Amino acid sequence: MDIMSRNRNLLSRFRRYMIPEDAAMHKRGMAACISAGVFIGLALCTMMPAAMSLLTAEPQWGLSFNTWVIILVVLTAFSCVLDYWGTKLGYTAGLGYMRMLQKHIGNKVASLPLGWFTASSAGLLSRIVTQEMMTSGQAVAYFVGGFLRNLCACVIFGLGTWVWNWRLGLIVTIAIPILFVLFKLGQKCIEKEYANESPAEEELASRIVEFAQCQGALRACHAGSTYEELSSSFAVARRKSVRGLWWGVLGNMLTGMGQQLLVFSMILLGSSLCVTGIAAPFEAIIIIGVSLRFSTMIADISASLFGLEERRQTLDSIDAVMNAPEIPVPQTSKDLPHDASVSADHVAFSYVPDKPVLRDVHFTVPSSSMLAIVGPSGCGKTTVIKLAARFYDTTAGTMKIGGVDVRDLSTEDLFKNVSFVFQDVYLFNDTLRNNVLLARPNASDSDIERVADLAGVTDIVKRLPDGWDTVCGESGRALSGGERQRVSIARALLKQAPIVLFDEATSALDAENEANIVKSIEELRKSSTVIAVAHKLETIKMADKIIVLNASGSIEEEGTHDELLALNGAYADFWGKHVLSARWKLA
Amino acid sequence: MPKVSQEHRDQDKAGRAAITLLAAYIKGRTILAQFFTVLSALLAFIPYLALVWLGDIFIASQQGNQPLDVEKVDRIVMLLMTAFMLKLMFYLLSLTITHFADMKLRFIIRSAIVDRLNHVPLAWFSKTGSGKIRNAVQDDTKTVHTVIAHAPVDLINGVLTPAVLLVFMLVVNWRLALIGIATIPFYVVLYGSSMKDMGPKTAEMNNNLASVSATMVELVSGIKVIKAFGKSGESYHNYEKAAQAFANSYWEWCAPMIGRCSVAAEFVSIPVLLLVNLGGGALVYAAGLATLPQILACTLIALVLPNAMMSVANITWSYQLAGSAAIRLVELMDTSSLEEPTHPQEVGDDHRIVVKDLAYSYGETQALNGVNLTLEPGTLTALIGPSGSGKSTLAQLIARFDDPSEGSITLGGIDIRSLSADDLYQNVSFVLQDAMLLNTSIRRNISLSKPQASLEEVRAAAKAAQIDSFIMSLPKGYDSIIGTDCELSGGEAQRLSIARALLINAPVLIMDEATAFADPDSEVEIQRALSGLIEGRTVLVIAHRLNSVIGAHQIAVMDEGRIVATGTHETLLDNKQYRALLEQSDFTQSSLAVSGAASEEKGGHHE
Repeated sequence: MDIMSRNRNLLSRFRRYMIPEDAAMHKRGMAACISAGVFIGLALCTMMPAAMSLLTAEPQWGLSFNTWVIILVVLTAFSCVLDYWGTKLGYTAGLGYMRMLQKHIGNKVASLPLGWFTASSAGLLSRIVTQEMMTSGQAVAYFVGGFLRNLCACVIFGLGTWVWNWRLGLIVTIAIPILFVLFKLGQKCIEKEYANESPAEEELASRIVEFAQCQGALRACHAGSTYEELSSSFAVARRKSVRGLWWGVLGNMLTGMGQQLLVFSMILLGSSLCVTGIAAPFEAIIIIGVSLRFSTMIADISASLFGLEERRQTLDSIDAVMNAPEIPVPQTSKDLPHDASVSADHVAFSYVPDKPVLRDVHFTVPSSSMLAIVGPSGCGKTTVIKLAARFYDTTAGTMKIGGVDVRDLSTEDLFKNVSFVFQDVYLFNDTLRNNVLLARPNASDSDIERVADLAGVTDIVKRLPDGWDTVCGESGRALSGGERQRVSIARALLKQAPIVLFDEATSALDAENEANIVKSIEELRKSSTVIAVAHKLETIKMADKIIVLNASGSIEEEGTHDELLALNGAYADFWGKHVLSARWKLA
Repeated sequence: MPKVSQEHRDQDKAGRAAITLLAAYIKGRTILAQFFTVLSALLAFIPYLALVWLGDIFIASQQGNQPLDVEKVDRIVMLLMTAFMLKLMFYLLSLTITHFADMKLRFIIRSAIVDRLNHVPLAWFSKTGSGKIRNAVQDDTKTVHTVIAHAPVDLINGVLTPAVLLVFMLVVNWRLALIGIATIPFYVVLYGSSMKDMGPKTAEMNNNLASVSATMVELVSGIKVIKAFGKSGESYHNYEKAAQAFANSYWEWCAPMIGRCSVAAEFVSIPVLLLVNLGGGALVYAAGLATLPQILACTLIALVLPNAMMSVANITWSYQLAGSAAIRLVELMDTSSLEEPTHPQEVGDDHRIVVKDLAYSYGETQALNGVNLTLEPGTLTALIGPSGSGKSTLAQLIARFDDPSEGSITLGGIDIRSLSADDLYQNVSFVLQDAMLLNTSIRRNISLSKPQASLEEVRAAAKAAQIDSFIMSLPKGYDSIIGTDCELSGGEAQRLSIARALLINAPVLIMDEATAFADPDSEVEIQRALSGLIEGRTVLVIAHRLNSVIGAHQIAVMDEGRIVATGTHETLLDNKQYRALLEQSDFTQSSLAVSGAASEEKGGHHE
């Protein structure tokens, strides 16, 4: 049946994250739960003949009450042992699953291409290894097992009613598809509830966050308490929530109605059979009793089905991460870079098909020289250096360092040769010293002081109360953007990699920062090949060669500063504007 | 017995207190819902009573004592069905009420948070990430859903229904009742021993999970640095250690329970209950002390009792989970706000700003100390100094982002703390590095301070801010929704915020010079816009490049939270710190000297 195959599918999706021993254990556990369910169903079935034989003091189906009790004892023994075994295996496998899921996700994070990560990745992944790990772990440990056991018992019990009284069996058999339809309708209603509520709720949450983020502007505009967009979001969310809730109520009523329908028809059948004399009166009360029991089982199963749906969604988000494509990285490099040159060989790249970011970008940066990339924002300057650090793989063409395709290098060898300074600088929640030191843990104190002086970190150290031992706090919030970039530069200086990729900050650079950056780049290029995405005139002027990208992502002009100025084209235009801007005086 | 720390006990307690605090908002509705739950629970025994009655009638007729009273049978069947239906209806009704109450509470919480956001010091926002607010309004309100919407109903139902059924059994036949609950003590003892210290243990588990989450966040956020510096080993190790610690402590907690709980569950499993009740019932029946319908009813009741009890255990568990979410919500709703004057004074025509003996500290860091400064109307004052010297903090205090720990700021002789927020910001506006655009139309973004402004007025401001032609080039022009119809570059966003400031038209302006260099693509335009904005106002500039403010009426040199010198460029030339800053600035200027001269001609060609 549909439900069964979907759930089998669900189980194999869970087992994918278990070690083979645990998976086998879980399989055995589930088999035990299903078998226990069969015995529970059979035990429930014995209730009918046993009670009859007790009342009539005559054998039912040739067996006396005592024999029925003995049968019940045997069934109980089987079901208890199997159920105990299944429960225990399920829990144990569930704990194993939780442990392994955390490991799998950790490994996956280590092997995903850097380009996969976005601003929301940290939140998503931390949710997966905590909340979602717990909910899916519970599903593995007992939820699925319990569901299978109940379902199985219910099916056997339902079949048993046929054997015992075909009319009762008929009612149960007719009821099941009706129940199923009502249940589906109920589920549709609940989906409708979410469809109503979720977008409005999300919109409201975004508005509240916006309200917080833009509080400065709102207060400055005396619009803090009268921000209409927020109040209308509140109104919409309220309206949609109310409508959604009514759908939810309807859904619950439909599922509740299904149960009642079944129970009522069984009860009516029982009493009418008795009244019309078709069945013995006592059989009738057993039918009624059975119907009460049956309704509880159906209620349990329908609740479990809702629960399973929730868990399936959890699993979907886990699978989405685990199925994200990795880029193949060789364990050992096929060849090692021959020098510190960097070249792009007719490179094209697009993040999404048919929207090229770079077209036919072709350049060579010889060892120990410096290349500056300039161009309008959004033209793919940063993408060029990200391709060199293999955040992504090119769509066409090859990026090479030292004459070797970056795809032929192991991660270790790649980053032995390449270091970078990006705009979004991450500082670990550790001391400032350790944040710099991570570039070369065995660096001497004098080395650290030298790079700190060059990069301007010494000034930050002086300002902070605990100096070098100041803990940088969550993602380095204690430091300003400019200061964070200085730390990042100090790291690059300390690492002394043959190739340095430098993405200059676009904003918030004061004179102090600029002086430090210029000094640092001068130092870096003494020993390394430097590729800089440059905005500041000083940085650009230092380059041995400059390439100008245009808005469509291809190279418009290339050459030295003087050659380009002489061309009197895009670069000259760009330069002229920047000089004008740099000489601007507010007062 | 595993040791449990006091800290975890306290955490558990605080969580419960916070939940109670939140639940108080919807007490009335909860009580109403609980009333219906009680009705529903009280009805629980009627179907079984009907069963017993029916059984008695049927048996009497089967044994030929009296003819079957069809009418009576119908009446009882009717009673059974009505009770069954009413029970479910009351239950659904009470759940519906609590769900609506939960929804109401969600809106109460969010309105309270919004109200609080509107009154906390602006400086609070730079300390508190927006992630925290999003978590609170989106996730935490959902996490408390179970304890608000389900717990009040399910808890009563879970306790009262078994109690009613038990009483019913006792009344019908006390011997059968005892048999019916005979196995429960085994279950309770075995299971209960594993539930000991559950609250604090859960708190410990939550802490372990928190460190798993924190290390994962660090691993993911720092992934570039980690790979670039070959640190995958270490950071990964931190995560692995946290994951390991969680798994081990969770295992330690659960493993001993698995066996016990599995055995415990068997004592209340269906076959065992059937066996005990049918078997035991048969003995009582044989002794002539029970009727068969009684046995049947009691057996069926015995089968449903454990279920009801387990739902109580589940609810207890959800209290543990909701505790920390409730604490976060209550904290956010209780964030201390800026004090609003009860009788605000009004600003007159005088817009002189006087900063007197100002001191400010955040945490243990003394950010400002003994600062004195006067901004004369119509003049431009530049704050210069190394980063971290307190420039931004001083500027922000003048715009009352927070209140100083000592000293005062007066506007036209009135302490800004005795001004209403509206009055203050009608007189003091600011253009800082964050342009703060809202996800609404461009027109509305500009005219936020003056909703009734005509399109002409808005366009005039935009023209002055050098952004009108860009806006007109968009398909929807001034009606374009930012973030939906168009994405703005840093420079475009800055110019919009300048247009906004022009429309606010406050006599005092606080600005950050860095906005002029926010976007290499459009620096010239931003600069033109800024020059237009400062005209005729009292301006305080946070300056990063000395050469762009060299002609200011007043330059204040800051260092380590103090103003070390004030004067004009000429009078400050003898000052050591000023000279150092000047040299740094000259350094960047001189590098342009040669090519700058060359390209000025060039620039001329292109103008």
